[in-house]
Amino acid sequence: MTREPEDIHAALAALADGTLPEELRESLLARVAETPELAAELEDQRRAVMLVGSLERIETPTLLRRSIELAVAGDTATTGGERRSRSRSVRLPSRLIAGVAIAAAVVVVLVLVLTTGGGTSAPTVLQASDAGLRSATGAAPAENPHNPHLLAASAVGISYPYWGGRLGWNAAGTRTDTVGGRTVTTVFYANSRSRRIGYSIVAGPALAIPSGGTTVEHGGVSFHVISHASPAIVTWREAGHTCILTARGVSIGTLMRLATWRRA
Amino acid sequence: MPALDPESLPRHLDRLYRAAWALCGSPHEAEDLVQETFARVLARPRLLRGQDELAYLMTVLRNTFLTDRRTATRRPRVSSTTIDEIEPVDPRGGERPEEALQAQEVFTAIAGLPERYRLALIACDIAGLSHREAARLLDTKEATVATRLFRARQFVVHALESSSPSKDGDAREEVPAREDLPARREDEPPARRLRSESTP
Repeated sequence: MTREPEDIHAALAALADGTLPEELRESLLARVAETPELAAELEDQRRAVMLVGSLERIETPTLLRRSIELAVAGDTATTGGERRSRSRSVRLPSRLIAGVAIAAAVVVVLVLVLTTGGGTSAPTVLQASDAGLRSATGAAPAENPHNPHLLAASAVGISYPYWGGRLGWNAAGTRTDTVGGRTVTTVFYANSRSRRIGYSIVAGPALAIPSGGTTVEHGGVSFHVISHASPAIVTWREAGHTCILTARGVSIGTLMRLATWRRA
Repeated sequence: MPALDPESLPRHLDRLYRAAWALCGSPHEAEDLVQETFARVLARPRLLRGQDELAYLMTVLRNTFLTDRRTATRRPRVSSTTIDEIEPVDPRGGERPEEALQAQEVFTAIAGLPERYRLALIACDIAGLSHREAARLLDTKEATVATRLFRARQFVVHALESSSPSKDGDAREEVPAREDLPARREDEPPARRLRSESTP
């Protein structure tokens, strides 16, 4: 056989993963049988194929799978919804649509006034989480000199955690908002890939948990996944207040690991 | 030209997740990468230009990874490690610790490969693309993919051997450190000649 070594290496790779054409198999196997070094190389190739093949048992983490499935379902529903909306608009007269819209708006306003007495109602978790997506207006808090697991920043008595060092999420700034009459204090964290997470704490009584999300129990605390992506939102209650992590381009898995990271 | 069907995407998820893990070397970074990949794919309708769905998704995954890495290198590195050591909140049922450890070692060995070898191995052995599909993904020749695959597998096997204590005293070839891995091109002569070719 006068094949170049590179050809032989390529052939050995193909032989090991079963993609070598049948007509080349016999001649290559014969050469392998008479050449110990080739035999050792083929053995390495087969071992690697087996080792890498063993990774097939690794499955996607449940939360990530759920995130993707929801995102795909949302995408499909949006597409279908647009189709349905377009077809309806062809059939219904525009005056009728406008009338229905006005009537619906009146009903919504009446319901809000009657149920809240016209005053300010507590924000939803979703509304409060918006603060975590805005820009920082204050400097990044320093590390807590007395506790390596905390930052030197707190809101309503709850200290913000230190996620720098090996966790890779350093404090990057702060901001304070008023949402629905509540003070929402946010500390931003950023990693080396320029991803950002907003950690918001809402003052006052805990907000209602939206129904329909995923709940993960950890260390006696219920973590609720409000949105799996774009943005990903996780909320939980601490000391009677609502804490929220919000981020774009960061998986729910990462938010959950940070949210459940132990504190001293 | 056929369009990507969003509803069919979740069935490729496991392969993409494993490919992302092998690219990043970290299961948690892999989660972020997969999530970002799907966010990009779902952001607008996608046309499959002669690729099948998996090959297309692998292309987006690779591009997202490379874009992320470029972004990272433009910024000061604040930490060389990630949140790997955080206790998982979603442990997979039935997975034995030694299996998880072995999987992590294999992923780490793959992630330590030079990029061209790593991408060839991930495309073929993890994503399950054919050599032809991998060649298209990597914009190279099929023969080059096969040669890179050969080298990648050699390095993975040797890296795993060198990272585990020898049980039988078998003195195998020392594996070069990552920075010492050969930088030769596929069309250059190999450093080690085949014994059969050096003997008449």
